Formats: sequence, structure tokens, C-alpha cells
Amino acid sequence: MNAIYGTENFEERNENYRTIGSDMNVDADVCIIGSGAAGSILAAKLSMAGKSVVVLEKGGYFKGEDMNQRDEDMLPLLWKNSGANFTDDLRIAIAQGSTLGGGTAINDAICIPIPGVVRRQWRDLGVDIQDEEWDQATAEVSKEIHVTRVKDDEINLNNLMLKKGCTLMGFKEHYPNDRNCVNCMHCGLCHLGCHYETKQEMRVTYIHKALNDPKSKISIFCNCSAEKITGSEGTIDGVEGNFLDRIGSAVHKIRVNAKMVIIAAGSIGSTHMLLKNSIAKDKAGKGLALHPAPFILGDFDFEIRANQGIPICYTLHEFGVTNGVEDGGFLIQAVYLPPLQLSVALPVTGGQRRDLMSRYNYFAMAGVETRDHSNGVITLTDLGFPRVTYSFGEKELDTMSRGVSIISKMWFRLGATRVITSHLTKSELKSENEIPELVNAIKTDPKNFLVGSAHPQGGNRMGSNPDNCVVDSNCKVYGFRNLFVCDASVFPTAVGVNPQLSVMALATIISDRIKKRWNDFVSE
Amino acid sequence: MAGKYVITGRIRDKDNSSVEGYTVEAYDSDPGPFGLNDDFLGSAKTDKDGDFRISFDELDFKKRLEWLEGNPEVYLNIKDEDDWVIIRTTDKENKTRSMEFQIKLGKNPGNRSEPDLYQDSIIRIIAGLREAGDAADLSKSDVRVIFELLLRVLKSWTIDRDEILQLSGYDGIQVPKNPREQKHDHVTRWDKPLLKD
Repeated sequence: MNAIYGTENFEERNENYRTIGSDMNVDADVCIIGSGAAGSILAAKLSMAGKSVVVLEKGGYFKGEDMNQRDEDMLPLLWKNSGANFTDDLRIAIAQGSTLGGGTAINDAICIPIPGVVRRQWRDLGVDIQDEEWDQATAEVSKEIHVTRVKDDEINLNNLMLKKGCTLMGFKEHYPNDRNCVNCMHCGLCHLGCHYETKQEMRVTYIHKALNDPKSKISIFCNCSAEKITGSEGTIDGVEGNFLDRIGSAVHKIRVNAKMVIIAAGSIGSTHMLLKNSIAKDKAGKGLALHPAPFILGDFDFEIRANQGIPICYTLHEFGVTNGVEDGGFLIQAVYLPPLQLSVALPVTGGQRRDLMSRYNYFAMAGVETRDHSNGVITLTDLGFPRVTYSFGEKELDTMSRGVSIISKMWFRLGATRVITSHLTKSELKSENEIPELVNAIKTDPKNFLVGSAHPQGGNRMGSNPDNCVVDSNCKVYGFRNLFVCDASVFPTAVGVNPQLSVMALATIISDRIKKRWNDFVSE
Repeated sequence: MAGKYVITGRIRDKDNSSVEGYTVEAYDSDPGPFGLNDDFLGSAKTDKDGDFRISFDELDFKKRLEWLEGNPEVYLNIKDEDDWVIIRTTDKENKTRSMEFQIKLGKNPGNRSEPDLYQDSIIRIIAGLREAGDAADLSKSDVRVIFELLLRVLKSWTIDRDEILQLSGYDGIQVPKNPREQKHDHVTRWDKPLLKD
């Protein structure tokens, strides 16, 4: 019977659940490493098509009632490394999920299809996926996860400030977002897990469907870290891993004998998997993009209470790839953070922080989602951990400067008494006149510019050239018959929009291709 | 202060579908047994989208002897089609004159035998820092920045937590610390700032 397995001693779960008490040895047609936006769709579609599927997920299995809306409790349960996921200079904090459903459990549920410009650029880079395939896959996913447009009366004041600002500045391309959420409870805490299960994340959609489909054979092992991929001469025969306790110590082992292995552990994670198994050694880890996102706060003399309601309901597309910008570009989205996270993100010391936190209800906040070039690199440390090296190019600095200038202007023109930035040496602006100083600080002192990254992409590039690409257009790893990597790590460029829908569409396309050509990849 | 008070909201069931035809009654809670002194503020029925809207003004909650009463302490009774009260929200003072309620049916009953997922939060965070620490390239980083960041995270999460939450006047946490164990309704309540032009 289909079940989720894990090391926590749960009594009652929504799905059929078993606690792991001993080492496991299982057979499967497909072993999928990772249960995020890609892994879950691959697992669901392949299992419902009659293949026996085993999923290995490093994170835990949690349900709505486990989400208690407190950062200090939910970050360790749902976020990769409890949120301590950084580039090697500790300047960029990278948000990723590590739980059943991966990033979809902690994202803000934004659904933007892969833009036409990006599809074309990828085709030019050797990715053989046609527009009709993208369209069909996007439509299929959008239906499964109930993509719905945010209604005008759902837009909170923080997002209305962005909308007003866009109108004031004369921009044309801005509108409410589509989200995978049904009758949102407006609690504003999407990235601490949806307590109410209105967010249509992988766990309550694809995973739920696959587990309860009478035709499917699927076992999901949570708290399970895949370590070794075994096989010989280009043919993989299985995966070995460990079941982990709460602090990451191995308590039991697992061996999966599989006819096919798909790595879907996300950017950084999938590269880590390849590198530690010495696969695609000189290629894996190159070309990481991060969508670096600086934020700007406006301090107003009236209450905004930005934490109330849907966090990200509105986007300015004017300068982005969605508006035809071919090279780089950026989106602007309003967003907010619960106070503990905001207090950590504000680049100030002690007393200033107290002063800022007392203004929590009076801030409007927006961020710049930069479509960066794939400048980052992932390598392995001596202890075998992944190390992310990333620095801003001139284009990225220019893009981020433009974005933060626009937001700063917006806030001042809407009446902000001051603007707070994330640059350590120019953290406060008193008027629009000081914006050039901020731009100068960003360009001449980028090391002191703190930004977040919620969308790491790339590292295991997809394309037609085996010399510099890790996977081909079917996401099959070059040099192997039955090993695949399918998730955001194969993106040859950043997509320039919130990527979950693009990842899901890709996983849909690849699932269909694997189903159709099963015998090409697997000798029965 | 004269002025209209507005309560808006939506009710969805446990499958996230909108609930039509339920009655929402708003009250101002006043001291006294069995809620006998509570002022009835107004009621509405949910439409096909599950939405409801109630408006009232000061006279509705300030009776003859209550002229000193500042702001109403508002709670809602949600009644199903058979008129049973299935949810009564907690009393909360409203100062902004604009309230939003999001309600999801299906009370969580509370179950005492589950493992405590939160007891190891700090240790889990520290374990997460292990990997970050190993991957950090100390030649690139100002060591002072690293320590400041680490200390700030740990301090915010522990020693400063209550102070930060109090300073910010944060109203975002609306479920119990241990939701699986503590019986609670699914209600998001916002006392919204009034929209400026």
C-alpha cells in the first residue's frame, strides 16, 4: 500500500504513514531524489502511469496542523539548513525548502509561466522543447494546482502602495499575480508553511493524488538523505542513503534497487549529488543563477501593516523578461517578512534596530527580482558540503541599482519620510536626492550589499553539447543510459520570473517523454 | 468619534470551497455573565463566494451608560444552516474600525500523543549552521560580519524574541504554539489600517 515513511513517531497523519524502525531495502522502477516542484510531479505522473516509484526526501513530512506560524519553529522544520543557506562570502542568503514538497511548501505561491523570450533563448542554446509542449504542460499544471488570479479586493495595503507607485511613475505593465492557492486565508505567512492547507503545494496536490490513486505504486521516504548512486558503465542500478534524526545524524540505512534514477534535489542539491558521486565532474556546478533580490523599505506616517494578507499579490513587469526584455531585466514585487526575520535582514546595529522594529507597522516593502547571468559556481568543500561562489557582474549591479532607485522614488513620492535599504554603508535615505549615493554605494562597494535569493537556478546545464552540458533535452545525464536530472538546476539561463511554474512544466514534459520512451532508457 | 465600523470576511469549508448561507453575528463583548451584556452589532449571511459584510456604528456598542467605552471588543458567532453556533471567535479590541476575518471550518480537535516537533528548534538551527560554516570562505568574509550575523540570529530567536515582537506590535501569529495538541478554530483576524487616498 502506498505510504509515506519517516523517522518521526507520528500517530496521526493525513496520508498513510509508517515510522522507520530498521534499515530498508526496496526495489522500484524509478527512484526519485527530492520531492520538490519537479520531483513530486515526476513521481506522481510516473507512478500513475504504472511505474513503481520510490521518492527519497531529505526533509520531514509535515501537515498543515504542524505549521505554527512561528519563524523560530518553522524555519528548522521546512527550510534547507534551517535557513542558514548562504554563498561562501555569507552575503547572499538563499531560501530553499527541505521538506516534503520542497520549495513549494515555503514559497509565496506565485505562478508565472516560462516567458516566451526565455523559451526561445533556451532553444537557441540547444534545448529541444517546443512552444506547444511548454503551453500544454503549463496548462496541465495550472489546472492541477488551481492557479487563480488574486482579486482586487484581496490586495493588501502594502501591495496597493506598489500599485499606486507604478501608476504614479507612469508604468503600464503591472498587475495582480496568479497564485496556486484556493480561498487563501490571508494569514501572510506562506513561507512558514500554510497552516490552513489552502496553498496548493505539491504535498496536497500531486503527492496526495499519487498516494491515493489505486493504480499507482509509490513509497515516499522522508528524513532520508540520498548519498550514493551506484552502477557501472553508464547504467545506474540504484541509490543508497541514510535516514536522519532531527539534527542530521544517520539512524538507519536504505538501499533502493532501481531501473532508473532521477535527481530532483533542486539547484545546489542536485549538483551536490552529482559532484559527490563524481558524475559530470568538470561540468556540474557551473552556471548558477540566483535572481539576487535587494529590498527597499519605505517608512510612512500612517499604518500599512504589510504583514496582513497575501504577501506578494502584485508585480511590476515593465522592466522584465515578461515585457520582452531580452538581456537581464528585473521584476518588482511587494513583499514582507515577520519581525524576527526582518530584524535579522535589516543591516543595522543594536539601538538602530530597535528604532526600526518599532516602525514595523509603518513600512512598505518591495524587492527587485533580478534576472542575473549564470555567474555562480558550486564546488565541494573538503568535508563534502556544497560551496556556492557567486559575485555580481556589472550588469547585475546596474540592474539592481535601477530597481532600487525606482522603488525608492516610489516610496518618497507616496510620502515616505525615509527609505531603508539593504546596503551596509548607505542604509538610510532621507530624500530622493540621496538615491545617487545609494547607486554609487552599490556599484563601488557591492560586497556590502546584502540581498536575498529565493530562486537559485542552474548548475547542471541542459543542452545539445555534451562537452559543456550536463543533461540533454530529455534531462538525461550525458554518458548515462538511465540517469536523469530534472529540476531548476538544469536551466541554462535564469528564467527571470518566479520559477515554480517553469520547473513544474519542465517536469511534466520530461515525465511524458520518459513514459513514451521508457524502453530507450531502461532495459527490462 | 463618529464613524462607521466595517467587518468583512469569507468562510470556506475544510476542502477550501466557499460556504454559502451561513450566518455571521458580530458582538461587542462587555463584562457580565453569559454574555448577557454583550452588544449585538449586526449580522449577515454568506453569499455564494462565502463572503459576508457587516457594518455598524458607535451607537450600536455604546449604550446609555457606556459613554466611557472607547473601542468595541469584537467577536463573531458563526452559525451553520441549522443555526448551530459552530465557531465563536476570541474577543479582540478593534481600534481601526476595519476588520477582516478569514474563517475555515473544521476545528482541530487537539491530540496529545504526538511528538513535540518544536523542542529541538534551536539545535536544528545550529546544525544547519554547521554546513554554512564549513562552506564559508573566510578569506572573503569580514569575520566580524559573520559573528554579528550569527549572534543576531540566535539572539533574535531567543533572548530578544519577545521584545522584538512587542516593539513591532506584531499581530501575525494566530494559531497556538502547539496546534496539533491545542483545540483551535481556523480564524485569521486582521484589524486593518484604513485605506488612505
